[in-house]
Amino acid sequence: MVARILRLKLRALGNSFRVSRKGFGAFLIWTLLGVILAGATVWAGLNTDLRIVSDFPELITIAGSAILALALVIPLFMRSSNLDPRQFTLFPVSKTAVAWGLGLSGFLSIPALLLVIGLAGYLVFWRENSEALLIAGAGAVLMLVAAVISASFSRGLALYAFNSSRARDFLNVVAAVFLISLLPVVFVLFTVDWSSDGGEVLNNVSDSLGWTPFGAALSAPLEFIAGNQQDAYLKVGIVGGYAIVLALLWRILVQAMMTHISRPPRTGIARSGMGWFDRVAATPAGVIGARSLTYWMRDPRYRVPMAILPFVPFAMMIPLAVATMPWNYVSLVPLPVLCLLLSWSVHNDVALDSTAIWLHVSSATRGIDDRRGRLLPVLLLGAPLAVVGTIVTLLFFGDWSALPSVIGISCGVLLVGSGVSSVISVLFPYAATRPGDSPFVQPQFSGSPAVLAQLSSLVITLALIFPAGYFAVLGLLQDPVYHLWALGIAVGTGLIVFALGLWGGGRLFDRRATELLAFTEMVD
Amino acid sequence: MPFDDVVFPLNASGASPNAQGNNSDSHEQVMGDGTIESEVPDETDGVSRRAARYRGRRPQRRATEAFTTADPVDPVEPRPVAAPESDSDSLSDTVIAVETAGEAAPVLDNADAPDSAEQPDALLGLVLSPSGTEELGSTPQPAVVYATPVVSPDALVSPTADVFAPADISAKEDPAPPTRSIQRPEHITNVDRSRERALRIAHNPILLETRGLSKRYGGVVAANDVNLDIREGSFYGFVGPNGAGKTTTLSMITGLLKPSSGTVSILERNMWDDSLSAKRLVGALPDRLRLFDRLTGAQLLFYAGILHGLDSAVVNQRAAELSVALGLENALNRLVSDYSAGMQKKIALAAAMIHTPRILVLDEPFESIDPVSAATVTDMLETFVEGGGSVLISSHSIDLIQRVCDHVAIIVDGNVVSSGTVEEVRDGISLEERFTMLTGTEVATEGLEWLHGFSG
Repeated sequence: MVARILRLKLRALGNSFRVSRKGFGAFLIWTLLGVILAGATVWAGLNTDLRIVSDFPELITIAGSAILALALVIPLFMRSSNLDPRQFTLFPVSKTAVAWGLGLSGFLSIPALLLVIGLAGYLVFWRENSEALLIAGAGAVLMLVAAVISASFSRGLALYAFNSSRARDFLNVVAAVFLISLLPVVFVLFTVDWSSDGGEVLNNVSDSLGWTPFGAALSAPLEFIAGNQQDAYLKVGIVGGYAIVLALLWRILVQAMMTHISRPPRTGIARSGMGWFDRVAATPAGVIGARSLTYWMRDPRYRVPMAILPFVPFAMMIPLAVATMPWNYVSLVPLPVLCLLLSWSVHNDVALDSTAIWLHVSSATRGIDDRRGRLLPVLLLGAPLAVVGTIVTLLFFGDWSALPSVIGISCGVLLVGSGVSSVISVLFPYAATRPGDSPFVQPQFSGSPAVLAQLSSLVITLALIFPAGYFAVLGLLQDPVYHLWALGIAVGTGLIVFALGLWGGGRLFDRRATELLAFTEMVD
Repeated sequence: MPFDDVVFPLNASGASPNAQGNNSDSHEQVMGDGTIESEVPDETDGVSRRAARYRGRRPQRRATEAFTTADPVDPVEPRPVAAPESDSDSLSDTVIAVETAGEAAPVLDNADAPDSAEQPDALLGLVLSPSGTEELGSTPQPAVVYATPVVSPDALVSPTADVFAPADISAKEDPAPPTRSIQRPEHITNVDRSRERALRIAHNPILLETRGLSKRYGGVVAANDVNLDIREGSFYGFVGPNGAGKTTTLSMITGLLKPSSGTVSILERNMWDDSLSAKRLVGALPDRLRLFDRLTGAQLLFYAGILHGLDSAVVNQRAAELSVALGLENALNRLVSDYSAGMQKKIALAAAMIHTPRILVLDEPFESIDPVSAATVTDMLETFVEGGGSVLISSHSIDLIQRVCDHVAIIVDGNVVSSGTVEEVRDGISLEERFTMLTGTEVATEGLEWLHGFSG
């Protein structure tokens, strides 16, 4: 059975080079990239002028760690279900044989083959010292095994544990938050003065990585030639242990996958009561507001962006802090940005409703009621955010004389953004993710000017709040009396734009209701 | 063939009482009346047994009554239809003469008839034509007796058995005056009711009127000069092949699509000039448009009711009754996105009805609905039209249209090629044959000889 699975995998590998295959272009690009990297390693090993081992030994450890870490993480997001252990459930074959077969078949994949090439190049570094070469060889083999098994394991885990669309969305949110939180690291890397203390940074990083299972394999021979033989053997042992643990986990996972069926998605969860509908006035605007709130809480297309939203302004703080702006000024940034994003989030609300908007059209719902209702969640979230956020901001900022500016600007941004969004969502709807689709799914139809609507709503909002912002800056830099000016202008602009946005958006909705419906039918 | 003065002998041994029955209709009659196949005629007791069986169906209907009429009335009791200038004494002229197996029929005065389910004899006959109307003067009209035979087992097994089909009374032959009151015994089939309705509403005021309704997309004409007149109390069918412009036309009628030219008016209110009051009169069920499916069924109904300007107490009461009538009461607290296709159709139907519209415009209402629910919905819609409302439905099921509709329009390539009462449109042949003739789909089977030539 093992041989059969391997033959199957070999054929699949061959077929992945068929030009007519779907997704061949992307496959080719990634493969070429990998070939170049692997080839570069070999070239670096053969080129005796490059003294990588003696000059930049840290890079080897870091690269090895990156490879093993990526082998563990990337398969979580690649949900190809080729050669899934579950496919063998119906065959008379032991689970151990399936685990062996699928585990070994992992070596017959493009990334594994490229890793073999790369590791071969790496071994060339050690050709002059036979004992180090031996340790490097052992480490490289164990690393290859660990990489292949960890890839199989993560892929299986993604298929088994993160099977439901909700779990996948959760995983995607975690990944998005993780990537955002990586931004600081990137900025730190960019700000390190590499010419003077670059070597020290690399040393610290590789020293710590060298004792993790990820970096141990490739740092073992480095320890050896540095004279720490004990450590070298220990590191080889760490990689070996890691590979064995992974293999055991893989065996358990195969067993679980072949003997458990995933629970069908829980449908029909009864919800008692009317939810938000009990808490609003029984008017058209009220129920539209309740419906929007319900959607913000139940629909992943609203919920997921809301989950990511809080991380965005904090990621924005990093470059400002790096650009040596004083920390207390940086702390002023997140609140207005959050308010802006919150009010901006409804700028394509009509398109998100898709063709369900017919109910508003056929019941002759007044446009202003529609607009008012849709802004209810924004204001309901935004008002406490502005108040609590102002207090928190000022605690960090330290100067309470800025209170009028901070609360004025955040409320002003919220109101202006809401007003602008309520016009833009009627004027420039663009294709949105359809109801029921994952928020990470791109809309099927992309012929409408998404960028125009997104940018214009942001730019108009920023332009309208600019005068108030100008006075707030004056208040900060010159005379605190300007803070009051900022408050007055921000709230005044906000209220006017909000009222005009509601009125104008409502009028536009009344006039364009059937066109909006036709648009949603077209992009659905 | 005038039916005036005709008294049909009712004969339990099953000799066909009437030769004028159309075979297809007789078939429908058997199918439409779900209980007939299990019927064991019994000279002494069969009728009351049947009555008992119908009584079992009634609670289901009762729930549908409440929202179609201002005051819930028992459906079997005589109740006034929303016809103009109702004459109160007309009932006393109504006479039923029924002759059963050699024995003189009891003569019933309709006004005195109590709940017919309790009075087995009342089921044997139905009198629909009272006297005196404005149109025909005050000359007393002879009573038209629609007697439904007791069908014998022989008649049921024999496919050629002629079963009396009252559906064959056509409007042309018998311009019966609009009636003042109807009694609706349960064993009269959809077909009977729809044909009878066609006569009765012939002079009702027009509820919905389209004039020159057209929609052009660039060079493509989706609907061309559609003129429809739908009277109060009419069950109007709209049929056409795929892509003929049914959905386009219905969307324009419900105000979901702006016509390129032409007008839609409902009780003189123009859909585009006075759209709020016009749309309040329409209950729409579009085809293939989404619902707000992240709401629960109860929330969706509440949402639709409030958007249509109802009071929350009214919405709650009607939502509860509608969900019982449509069999959705156990699903109200689930998300609409978890509903099956048929249940989504039903909740959308409930949402279309919740504001007591004068006309229901339903695009493919029976698509993916199970037969039992379809029968319930048909029942609700018939009750609705009896209360003076109108229904405009589109369907691919010609059989259904022929069975339940009194008027029909056939649209082909955006043009209404035929419209009128079902009898006028089908003009002697079955509606399906007429439809095939008008759409010319027979021609399409030419050139497929290879499909039939596999003998060798």
